[in-house]
Amino acid sequence: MHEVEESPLDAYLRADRIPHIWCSGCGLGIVTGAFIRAIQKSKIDPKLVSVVAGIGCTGRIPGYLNFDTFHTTHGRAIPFAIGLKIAKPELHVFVISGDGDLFAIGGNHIFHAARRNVNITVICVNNFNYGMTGGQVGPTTPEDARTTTTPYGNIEPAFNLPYVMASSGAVYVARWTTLQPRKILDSILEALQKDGFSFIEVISPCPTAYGRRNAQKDAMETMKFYQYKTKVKHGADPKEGDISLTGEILTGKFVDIQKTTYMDRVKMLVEKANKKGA
Amino acid sequence: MKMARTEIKFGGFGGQGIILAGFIVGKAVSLYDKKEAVFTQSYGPEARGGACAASLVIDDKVIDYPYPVSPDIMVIMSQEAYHDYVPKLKEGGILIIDEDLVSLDDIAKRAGKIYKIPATRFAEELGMKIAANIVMLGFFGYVARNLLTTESLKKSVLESVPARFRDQNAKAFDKGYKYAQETIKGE
Amino acid sequence: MATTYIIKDDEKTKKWKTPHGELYIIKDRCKGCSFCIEFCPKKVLVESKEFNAKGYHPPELQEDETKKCINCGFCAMICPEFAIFSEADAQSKDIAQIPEKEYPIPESPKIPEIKKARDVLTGEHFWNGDVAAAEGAIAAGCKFFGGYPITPSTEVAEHIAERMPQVGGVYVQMEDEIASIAAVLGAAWGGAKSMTATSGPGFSLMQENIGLAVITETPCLIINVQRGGPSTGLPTLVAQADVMQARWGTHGDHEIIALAPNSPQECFDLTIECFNLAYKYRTPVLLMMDECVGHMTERVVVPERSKIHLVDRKKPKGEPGKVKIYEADEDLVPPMPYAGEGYNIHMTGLTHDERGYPSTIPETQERMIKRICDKIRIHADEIIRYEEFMLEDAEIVVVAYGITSRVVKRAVVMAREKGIKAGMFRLITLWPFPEKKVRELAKKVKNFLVVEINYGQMVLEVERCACPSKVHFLGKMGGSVHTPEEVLQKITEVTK
Repeated sequence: MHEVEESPLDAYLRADRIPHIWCSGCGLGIVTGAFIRAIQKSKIDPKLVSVVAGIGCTGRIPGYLNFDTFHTTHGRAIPFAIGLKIAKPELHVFVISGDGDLFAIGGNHIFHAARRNVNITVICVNNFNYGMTGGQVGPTTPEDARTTTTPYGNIEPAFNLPYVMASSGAVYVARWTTLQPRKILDSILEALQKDGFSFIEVISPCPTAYGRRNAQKDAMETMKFYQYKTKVKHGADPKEGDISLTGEILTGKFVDIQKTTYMDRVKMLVEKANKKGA
Repeated sequence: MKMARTEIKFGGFGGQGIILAGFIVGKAVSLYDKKEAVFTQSYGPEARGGACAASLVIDDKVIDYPYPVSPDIMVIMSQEAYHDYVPKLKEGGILIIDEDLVSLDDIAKRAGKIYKIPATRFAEELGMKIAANIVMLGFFGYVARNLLTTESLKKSVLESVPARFRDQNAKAFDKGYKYAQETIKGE
Repeated sequence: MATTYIIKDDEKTKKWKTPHGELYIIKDRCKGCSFCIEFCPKKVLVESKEFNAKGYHPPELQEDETKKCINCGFCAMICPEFAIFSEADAQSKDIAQIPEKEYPIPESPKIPEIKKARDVLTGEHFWNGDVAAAEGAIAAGCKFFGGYPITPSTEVAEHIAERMPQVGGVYVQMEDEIASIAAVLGAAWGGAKSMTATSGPGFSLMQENIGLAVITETPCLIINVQRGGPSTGLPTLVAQADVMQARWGTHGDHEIIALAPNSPQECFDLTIECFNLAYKYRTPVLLMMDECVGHMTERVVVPERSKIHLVDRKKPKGEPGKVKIYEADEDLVPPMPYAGEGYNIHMTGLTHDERGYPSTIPETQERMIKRICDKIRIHADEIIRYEEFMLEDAEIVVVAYGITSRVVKRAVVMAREKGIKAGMFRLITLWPFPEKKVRELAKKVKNFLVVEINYGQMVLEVERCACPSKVHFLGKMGGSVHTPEEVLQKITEVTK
């Protein structure tokens, strides 16, 4: 084993900001790594990669990525990304943000972005709670889970993200856990090959705020939970993707279809408005 | 044509084209007669279904206060508008009405002159009830011929309606104008 | 990154060969999660006894030499700290690798460029204020409008929706006002002049992201066609009651630029001016219209294109990679890089240093706030515009803006006819407030009268600056404008 100072990922990291702020065992670093590897493999011009995030632990990912990165307000990464993409269509625009940011405070935006089939890729890191603020219940918290604001257990049903994204119109929907980093990487590459609204959910441990309140004493236990409970099934009906506190986690690619994208439509509109006699 | 500040109010119900009528006159004065004009209108749901009004202030000089204080001319196309607005008509001012839709009472006594036209009926006879406002504008154009040129007004009408309805609107305008020429005598 | 996750059929021996890897570690990055140890398919790693700088035990190789790294790379992928990786060892280098796959990445369609676009409609028009503002934006080169319909600003959006595609721009009707302003900021970083238009409730929803525009120094235009409030208030009727919200609507210390037109012509002219100010000072700019000005129709003269002065961003001078994106020039305004130019921008709503990196130390906050406020404050004289009407010998100064200024002008003329020496001071720039000018006037004039369609907002600023003069107030809660007679009566009353 050789001791070194730099990792091959450092080329795309703001290495002067490492170590990052995330807890030991937090899955966000795994997602960050998978993202960088996907960009490397895709061979797209890194100059044209833009990453937008909202607020939360996941929202800090762009701050460590050495691309054009935008850390916006809570819930608003998606509309910001839409503006960015429209203003400069040659950009590859990614949104990487958390479950609460994208589906609670930002819920309205993600559904409409999928409906429009806007040409962006959204990676939602789902850790089942609001980690940065110390572990409060969120829209993906499983029923009965303990959080600081559900001290008696969560009484609300959770969103099944692949299902809501599929029904909102996303052309690519997949879900993985952080124990499947290769799948995350492949999925990002697949999403890049689709010019429409693609969505990847990554289930990720939050050992400090969520795991330890829910019978997973550390991140390792959460990862082992994924190891035993994860089922991979491509083409599964997203309806089956509900996640319970202790049940199976269905992963795989749920949707992979082709539809006219938003930028296609914008182009057609501009052409139509400039046709003679319009 | 020299002109002091003149205030004109158009009143009727939503759907009669009251607002368009006011806009057309304003545009004629402002762009074609090169005088100052400010056009304001009632706005919101009432402009669609309820009582609605459009106002115009025209002047040789730059206009500061843009709203009518006591209108010199009123063009009224509904009974409700008659009751709402005519009490504000300047004493001795000009009142123009659609005679089938408005019946006069004591309020009208403040008017110095009253001109009547069955504008809506004429429009119906022309097979385009929707152009009652344009018939009215033709009539108004004659009455107000000392304020704005008929050429400008007609040009503004034709510029403000969709190209495929231009001929019909020209007919409607002429109908109103001619009726005024025929019926308003001795001026 | 190890890519030799393969074994290959050896031509001679017809046996499978397994590649082996060398492991590399950046010990001090390790936070001891043990994922690399637990999930290594060959179990080649164990926790070491040593402590790293953070007090964790980084992994080390097994003593059992039969357990050999196969260079699968999983440890690197599962490590959340970018602390470990493997590379093919010397003996494995000659083992064939999977040829790197090509990934066909599609490019999104580009918006066709419109040659000879009709963006400046030179000539005379009979436009209302909303339409004039929309045309002003297009003449200024605005190419993105994110909006949501709301009375009485809707006509701006409607007109833009028709005109934008004609000039190769985009109107997007977003799902709400928050999305609208967020998209506007995104578009600005993509290099498009961008704007939105809204009214009371929508303006309230936009406040947080106006703050983001302030702290990230994002140039953009927000038009507020003011109506009566609070809340839904008077959707179709006038007010001027958002002028303090314009100043302090978003939280935290900041300066803002806000202009108030009083005619459709000014809606056109000042919209262009707003974009110029936004790009000159890298800041969001507000055009505070009111329902009356928005819906009033008058002649608007659009000059020739060559007569329209436009300000563009200051481009970064240095090479990408060497530029600190928030390092300001002497005018305190940093040049602005756009996404896709290679500057590796980091934009954040967090307090940040000159590199754009978040920083939670008070010194950074002090430096940042001071600069983003001072870049407006030191240029106040250049930014501020006002109109003086019959002020030379005035004994009472009537202060007004927007539609109210047209009432006041009339009232001032009427007062003069009665022998009262009245004059008007019209605010064209609401913020920064022309305090220097008001202080000057206060040296000469004893009485100020502030007329506005609210229950007392800009009057507070006049009171602050007009000392020791007396400041009177004539408000209206909204729904209608003052009549000239009302203003005249008040002028008469206070000059007695």
